[in-house]
Amino acid sequence: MTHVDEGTLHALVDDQLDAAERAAVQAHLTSCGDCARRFADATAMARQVRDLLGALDERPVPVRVQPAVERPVAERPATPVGDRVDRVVVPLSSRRTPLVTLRRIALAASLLVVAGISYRVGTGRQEASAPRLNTAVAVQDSVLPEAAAMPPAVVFPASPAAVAEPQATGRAGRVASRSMAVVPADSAVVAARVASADRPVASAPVVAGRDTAVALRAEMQRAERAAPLKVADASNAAGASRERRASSVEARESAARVPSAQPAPASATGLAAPAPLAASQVAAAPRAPAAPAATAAKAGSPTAAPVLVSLAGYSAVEEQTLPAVTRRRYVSSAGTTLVLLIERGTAPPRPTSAAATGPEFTVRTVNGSSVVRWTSRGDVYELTGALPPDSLVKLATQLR
Amino acid sequence: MGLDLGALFREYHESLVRMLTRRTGDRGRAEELAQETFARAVAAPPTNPRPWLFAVALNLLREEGRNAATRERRLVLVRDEDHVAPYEPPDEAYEREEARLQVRAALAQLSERDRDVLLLQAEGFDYDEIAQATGLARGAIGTTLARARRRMLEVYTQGQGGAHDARG
Repeated sequence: MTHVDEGTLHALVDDQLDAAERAAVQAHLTSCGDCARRFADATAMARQVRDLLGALDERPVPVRVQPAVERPVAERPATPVGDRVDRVVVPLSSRRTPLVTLRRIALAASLLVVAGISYRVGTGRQEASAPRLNTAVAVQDSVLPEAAAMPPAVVFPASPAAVAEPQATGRAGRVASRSMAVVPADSAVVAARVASADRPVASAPVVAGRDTAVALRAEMQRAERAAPLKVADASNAAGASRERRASSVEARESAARVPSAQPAPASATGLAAPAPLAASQVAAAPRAPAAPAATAAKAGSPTAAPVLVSLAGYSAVEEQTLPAVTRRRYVSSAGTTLVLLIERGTAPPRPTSAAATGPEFTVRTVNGSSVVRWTSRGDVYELTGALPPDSLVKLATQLR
Repeated sequence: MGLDLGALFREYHESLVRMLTRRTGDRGRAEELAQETFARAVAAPPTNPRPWLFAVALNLLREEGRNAATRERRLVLVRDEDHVAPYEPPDEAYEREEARLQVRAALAQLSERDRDVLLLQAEGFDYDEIAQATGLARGAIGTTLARARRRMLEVYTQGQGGAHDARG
């Protein structure tokens, strides 16, 4: 086979070749160092462009999740179908990592008491009282990861019990996670969710006037600003900024420590950044593509092979290991395909303190297909598949 | 069979608005375009909605100047009034805004075709869908993407260099 053309390499990166083409190209890549390097370049390019485009979004799109606080998939609410235009249910947001301080709930409660709001509670009643809906606001307490970037207050109807006693942890959490409805335009249901180590999730939903809801949300944000949460959460700007700084320090340290293994520290920094905020990534990223020599050197440099563990319920049907990139395809018995891509030597090592906090995954979802990215021992991993993000994160956890 | 606008909307609205926001840099305009797109889907239900919706949206964007008259037809599907962005310290907000501007400037230097292909791919379109939405041959998508990605990174890197020189 002659060299693989650029378009085909990108099609392989995007998983758009049919089985025969893929096999042929992959066979060639194992025997042609040139094409293997070009494939590694194409892989990096695709990722960098995706990150650049992500920087255009208003809020950071990738969301940091920690698998420890994942809800089981079974608890996710069934998706209802809107049947009229004025009742379209939009998953405006869904889930943020449900670790919010108890303070919020107290704040929410006190604010409402001060405001003298009378509570109207009950899903059925809201449904019935919303015939002239022109503003549909509904939020699914679900698993779309973009939600993590939403403001702290979410809007959904919930159980009266949760209002009466915000601490009714289990019940409130369950009800909230299942409920989904269209809320009348002139009112909003505000819920603050809390969690602590011994208490998974609690909700304090109340129905209040729209203005109050907005005010409440603003107040919560002020509170959050004053005392940043110690939560791995992309919407927490303060936390993210800490991480960003840590990340650049990390990168510098890595450059100082292992200059020979990292021929282009700048490029390594750019490629490594798994940070949810695009700025640092963007600032560092461009040098990488501009330095093909560095990429080539990286591709050629021997790095430890990644440890691949099998995925429960999936079998690895294909694997291609090149000097800089490993690509592995898994198929489940149900026919779901996952693709694992590993770019080796492109991430700075995490400090041991960070490693102790457990795995950190960056998730993005696009139209039902999720991409989970994480780093491990200097390698960047990306697992892609048409699965809900939490499922994918679980699978990714197995791979670590 | 009637069009299930709710399902269509739920499935594609967010992605469409994101793509249009990336493309235009204006969230409000993106939402207006998306609403007009869905209004057209009601008028002529598409069989293959995703590429159809995005193709229509991109066409609308091109024709936008002439489309003032269609304003009346807009469906107000959702008024998402509470775009309260998470708090961000000013220096970081500035930094991010600057990065965004640079990416936008780079994107603006691409040909329309390259830009569309990149944005559609970023929304998870497969090559068949990209071909349908853009009218390009399926076999040309890989090559187009390869060129578009390379060009995007080149232009962006040049912009970065310029910015650094100017500061330096």
